[in-house]
Amino acid sequence: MFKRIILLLLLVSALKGCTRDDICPEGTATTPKLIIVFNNNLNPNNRKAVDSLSIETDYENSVLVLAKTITDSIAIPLSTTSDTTKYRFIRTRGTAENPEINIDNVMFIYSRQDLYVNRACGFKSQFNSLEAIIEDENSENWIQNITTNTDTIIDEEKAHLTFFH
Amino acid sequence: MKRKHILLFFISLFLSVGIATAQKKSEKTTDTAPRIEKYGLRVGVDLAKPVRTLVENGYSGFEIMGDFRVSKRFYAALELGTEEKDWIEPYVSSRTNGSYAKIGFDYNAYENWLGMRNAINLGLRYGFSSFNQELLRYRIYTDNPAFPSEVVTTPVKFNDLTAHWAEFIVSIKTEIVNNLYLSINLQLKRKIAETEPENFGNLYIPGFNRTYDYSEFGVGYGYTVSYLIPIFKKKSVSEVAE
Repeated sequence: MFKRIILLLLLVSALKGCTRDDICPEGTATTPKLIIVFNNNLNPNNRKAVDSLSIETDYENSVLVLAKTITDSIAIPLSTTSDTTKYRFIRTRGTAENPEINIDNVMFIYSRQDLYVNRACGFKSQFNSLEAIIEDENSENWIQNITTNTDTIIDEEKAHLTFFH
Repeated sequence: MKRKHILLFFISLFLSVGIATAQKKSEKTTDTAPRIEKYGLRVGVDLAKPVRTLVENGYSGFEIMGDFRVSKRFYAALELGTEEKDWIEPYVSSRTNGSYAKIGFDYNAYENWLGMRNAINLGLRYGFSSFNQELLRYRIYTDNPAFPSEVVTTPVKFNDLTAHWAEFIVSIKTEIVNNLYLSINLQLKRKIAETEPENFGNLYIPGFNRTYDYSEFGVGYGYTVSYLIPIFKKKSVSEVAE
């Protein structure tokens, strides 16, 4: 009887030691990224890949979030400590020796809401009333137009913005 | 700190087992004298909580317990306590304070030798806690290097929270001197219901202890000293030691 009870006690205390859930598991829905798709300006319902797109944050110490990729959709993080995020969208065309670089500056404005996830992951941000403002360079912009599909960013299920080029 | 507790726990566990098994060596009686069973109210305090209050930062707690023998093997049991605990996780920190009550019964599964009054109790409890929780600080979870998150330190208070749980408790009780008992117990709990704070969770529930993200279970332990106030004695002739 004693042995059985002690075994049970040891088992319970062993379980107590093993249960570690203080690491945020991958795949948990934390702060969603902003999803942008690129469509053809002449044929607005059709996707059009950007020929070699790079994206970096538009701050003093800029961080590259996307390096020279041919893509028609991207997911980029928004700042969770500020109500604005500034990015440089860099399109690189031409040859390696003679590149043709066009940089468009886009600022995203939104309001933030902090939502509790769990004890391991802490909180996530939800972004509301999203606006994208492209810095007008007269006829020099490669991004012609921006439409907002949804102005609240809750998840990464659908594209939030469409860029036409 | 945690290791120290675990060590302390096992030392006391084995000590109490040693005391409990020692009684087996006692003389065997072959007479047919009726054994006298004491019935009464046993009251005590959990020693682990005041000790933790002294040695552990961000913890204070106190628990009193009582049980009343209702039949040969069954005891009605009650525990009342209060706790305050700071819980610190990498992304969230909170402070919980409140009080709790646990009510239920114990079943003594141990067959005593004549004149011995030790116990291995298996018990069930219904636990209820009423508490407040304060979200001290938090961070937005992020795994991207472009925008590191900052710690938000605007405390938010959540009052009038409650939790209910069921508890399975195993305890070993030994009578060290006449009517004075030392006991150690382990508790396995399962949450039944709780009021969750708006846009936050209960990281710690007084009486239930820490919660888990993907589990309704909780664990706990206690180290109790208690005193039996005998109210009446009963002769049991039916069970005589061989």
